[in-house]
Amino acid sequence: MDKTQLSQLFSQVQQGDKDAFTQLYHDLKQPVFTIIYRIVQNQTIAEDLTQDLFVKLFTAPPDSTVKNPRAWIFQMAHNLVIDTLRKAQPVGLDDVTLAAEECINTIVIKTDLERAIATLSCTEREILSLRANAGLSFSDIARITGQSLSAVYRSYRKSLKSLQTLLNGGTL
Amino acid sequence: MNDITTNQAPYSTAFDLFQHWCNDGYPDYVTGVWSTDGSSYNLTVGVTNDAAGEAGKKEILNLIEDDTSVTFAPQTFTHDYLMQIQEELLPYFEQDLGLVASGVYDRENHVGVEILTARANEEATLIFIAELQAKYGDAISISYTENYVTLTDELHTNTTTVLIEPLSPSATGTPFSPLLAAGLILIPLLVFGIYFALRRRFVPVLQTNAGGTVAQSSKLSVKQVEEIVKESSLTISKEVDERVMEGIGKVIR
Repeated sequence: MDKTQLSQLFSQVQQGDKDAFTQLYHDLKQPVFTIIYRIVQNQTIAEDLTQDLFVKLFTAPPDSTVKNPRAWIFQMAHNLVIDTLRKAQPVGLDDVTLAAEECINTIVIKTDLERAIATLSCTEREILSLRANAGLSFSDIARITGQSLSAVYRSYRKSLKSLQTLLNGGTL
Repeated sequence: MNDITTNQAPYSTAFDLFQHWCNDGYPDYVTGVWSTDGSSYNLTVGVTNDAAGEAGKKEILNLIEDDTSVTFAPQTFTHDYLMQIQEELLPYFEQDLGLVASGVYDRENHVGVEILTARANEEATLIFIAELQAKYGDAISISYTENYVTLTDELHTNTTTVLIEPLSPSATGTPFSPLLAAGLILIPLLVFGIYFALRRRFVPVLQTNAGGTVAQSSKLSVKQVEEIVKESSLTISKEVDERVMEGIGKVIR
């Protein structure tokens, strides 16, 4: 779905069009959930946050001045996750994720890929997913995560290299 | 990125508006922002040299209380376009082309591309430069550098973004001795041979999202890993679908 189609759907959602929202939800739920899950590393929390995000999206969709609605949604997802993690524990995001990772044994990790992704830092996982799963540009990701363009790019390449090592049977 | 509209609250100074742009993106007609006099109070805003730029100037003046804090400069390329070029250049840093730095230069209204002088006459570098010039024209400016600074973060001068990437050993311009050259050729060949002899013993098995397994006939490349990640969207449970629609139903009621 391109920017124009997405903007069109949002303007319909603003008028309370449930069908437009349903289409939006079905197109975006997977990348949104993937990104949130990759950050929080917890199925239940990720599902709850995805649900919150879409309900908020319906009640307060972006107005017509938003030039890149796709990036706007992932910015919203980022903010929602950060708020939730900060409320959960008043420590750094990566620390919270480490705490969440202690519970990781209780989560069914479906694939070797997810196991490999879980070894990346919280920020690395977010950047990786925003690029690979949400298809955002490095500039948009830099804006969402508050990092420089070069830092985002380096993080993405580093993550791919780490995953390559792990998936090829190596250790980091 | 949002367009700035006149119904938003006005900003005290140009700097306040600039900060807003830093968060929400520059309007389409803006080409760049830099300090007029070295202070952060007085800023020059580059605007496109067309009707949109003219309209943009009026819009900006309406948004700033102290409109003496802003000066305008007509320019050609929008900031968004220059950032897009900068992004398109990123993958070239991984290729052995002598590219050592690039950055968006607001005041100059171009993307500066720095090439190592020692590599400037190599065929691959010449082709790369010619392709850049053909594709981007005046939006890029090529310069050459003798020395290489191994910084990894941005330089915050009048440059929006500057990338400095690690220098490959072959890019130093140091002349090779024949013995060293022979060693450099033979050692990788030897390592490559050993790797090929052993690699089938170390083949990992990759479990897919669908739960199946794929025996890899060779090691995964970074490109393949990237493709795997791209195809790895996780599936949300049907229960969440129902909860979301239920939530929406409540809002509508």
